[in-house]
Amino acid sequence: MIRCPVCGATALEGSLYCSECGSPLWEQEQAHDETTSPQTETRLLDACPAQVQLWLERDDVTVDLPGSGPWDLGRAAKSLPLTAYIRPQDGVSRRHARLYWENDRLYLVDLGSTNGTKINGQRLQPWQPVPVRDGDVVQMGRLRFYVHLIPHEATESNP
Amino acid sequence: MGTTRPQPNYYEILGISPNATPQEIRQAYLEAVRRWHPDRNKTPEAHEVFLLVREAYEILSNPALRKDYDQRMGFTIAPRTEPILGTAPGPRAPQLRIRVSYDQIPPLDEPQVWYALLNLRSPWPEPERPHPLTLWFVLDQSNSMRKEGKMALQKAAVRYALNILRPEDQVGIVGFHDRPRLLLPLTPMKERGAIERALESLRPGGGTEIAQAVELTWRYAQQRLSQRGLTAIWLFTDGRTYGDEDRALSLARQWAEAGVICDTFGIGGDWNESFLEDLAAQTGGASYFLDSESTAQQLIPEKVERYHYATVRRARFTFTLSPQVQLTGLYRMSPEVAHLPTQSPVQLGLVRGGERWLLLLEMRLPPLRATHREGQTYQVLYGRIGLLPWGGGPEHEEGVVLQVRLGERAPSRPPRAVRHAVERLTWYRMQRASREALHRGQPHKARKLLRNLAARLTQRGRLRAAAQVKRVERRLRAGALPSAKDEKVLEYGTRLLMLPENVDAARRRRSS
Repeated sequence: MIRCPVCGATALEGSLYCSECGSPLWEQEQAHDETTSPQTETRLLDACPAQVQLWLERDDVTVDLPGSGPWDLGRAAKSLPLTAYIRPQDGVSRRHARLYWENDRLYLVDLGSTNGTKINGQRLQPWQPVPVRDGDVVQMGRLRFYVHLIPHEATESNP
Repeated sequence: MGTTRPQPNYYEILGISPNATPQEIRQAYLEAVRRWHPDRNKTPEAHEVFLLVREAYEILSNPALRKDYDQRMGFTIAPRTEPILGTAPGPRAPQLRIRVSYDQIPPLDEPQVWYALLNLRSPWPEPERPHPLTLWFVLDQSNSMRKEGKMALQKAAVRYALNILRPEDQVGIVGFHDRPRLLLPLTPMKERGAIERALESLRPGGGTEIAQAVELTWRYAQQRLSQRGLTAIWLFTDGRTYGDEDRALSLARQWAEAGVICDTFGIGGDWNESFLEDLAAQTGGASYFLDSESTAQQLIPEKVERYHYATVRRARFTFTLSPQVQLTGLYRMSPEVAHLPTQSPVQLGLVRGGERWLLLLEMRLPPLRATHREGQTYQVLYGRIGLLPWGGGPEHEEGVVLQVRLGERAPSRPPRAVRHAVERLTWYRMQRASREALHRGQPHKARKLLRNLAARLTQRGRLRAAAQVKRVERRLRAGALPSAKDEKVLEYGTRLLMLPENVDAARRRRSS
């Protein structure tokens, strides 16, 4: 028997996904390596109601999230939006959390990270998305940033 | 595949793939010698394995002997092998590619799960002219069809088929409620007016007796089985049949033998999906949820054309499992999702040019530790897929030998295609498990499964499906049971998620 690292359910040896929570049961660290399919991006392009900006207080930098998401945050690849500002001691997982738009709302979901994600000081349950509002503060491991939603009209008129 | 032991798979013995280079072969040979030389390895089978290793090297290191061996073996049978390079494309070229979750597994004291994904292409191209099609519509005219525009939807679905049928095709119609009635004997498409009149004569009234309806259809269909073309039976219903399921299923097995395919279409929320699914699956067909005219419009012409342009007349998978191995699931993930029977022989249905069969096998292997040793190859399944060509001629056969090396768990991840297939299957099963929990009176567990499913779908970017799941979950939280239609939406929504990504994308492109 093997045990699912996310929900603790048992499964037969050789199982690839947990039948209770759907988490991968093969090599965990690489499990989250796969990027979302590009179709998701095109589907959401029109529906993306605002530009998402992340403000890292520590470095005083503002990161504009490109396109319409979903955006994975973590240190897995240089192409992820925050990677350049993550330091090893921050305790950020390779794929730590995801921001995405759905029904005109921005959501944050922790991708089963080692050190967890907090929003306004509240710890997230892994894999359980929560809505994000303008001005919320997110903490991934020890890395803190604010989320700002800039309506599209505003970004166009003040480039 | 009889009971005779096949020729040894020399690639497997050396642990290399059939397209290994001579250098790789030599290196693998040297490693195997170090491992199996009887002077060093004192296990009882070492001597025998060592002889096999030498034999393997003798053949594979000699280009002429290797070529001859590859041709004889038709190298598609080893797990995770590519078609051999240099084999001329043609009707006899290997068309089957097998990938497994792990090609080396440990012999354990407990059972374990093992997956194989079979990717099969037809050896023949799409025909230039469509095959003549004989299509029997078995249409529901029970009382409940009056409601919610179901009768109109059924008729619309039939018309989408009529619109794409060709003059040389033939149509018959049986209407049923408490008893079935022949509304239209087999009629050539040229007489569209007569067909339309029969369709218009459908009048709701009475209950739902499916077995009698399919029996009557079969009586007529049997007399006029299409020799040159294909005969298909399409059953539409919005209801459940009680107590006569087994009669209908045993009839479906006869259809399969006669090369007749049955597809089933559920309308509304009350039909018995596992029965309709089994009925279709016995014949290699598929079952669908017709929730709207636009679904019918998208689905039905695609199906008719698949039959018109089928590249094979029949595809059948026969197999024998090793003792104590259980086939716990057999799923066709392409071209049409279906939960196939796990008893050999299995009808695989048809593909047209550019399509392929994608079959996922989930097997439960028995505890192996007491009876097997590391280094051995464990045979899991022997079988063959027979593809029958149009216009006579012998079957094209693809050998299916599933075997796995015993040893430490390979450090490699399962192949991507296998992971994706199993992940989709997991989503589908979570949704099913949630409904079963609900019907057992465990709403808490049902909701938890749905929440987990929504989270996984979200994480994988399947936002629309995730939203559907969340909607049902919210309804449960509010104390309401999901409607029967909600359940069908979930069932067929997650079932569609089982389609491989590219098919899914192609569908979306076509529909947009």
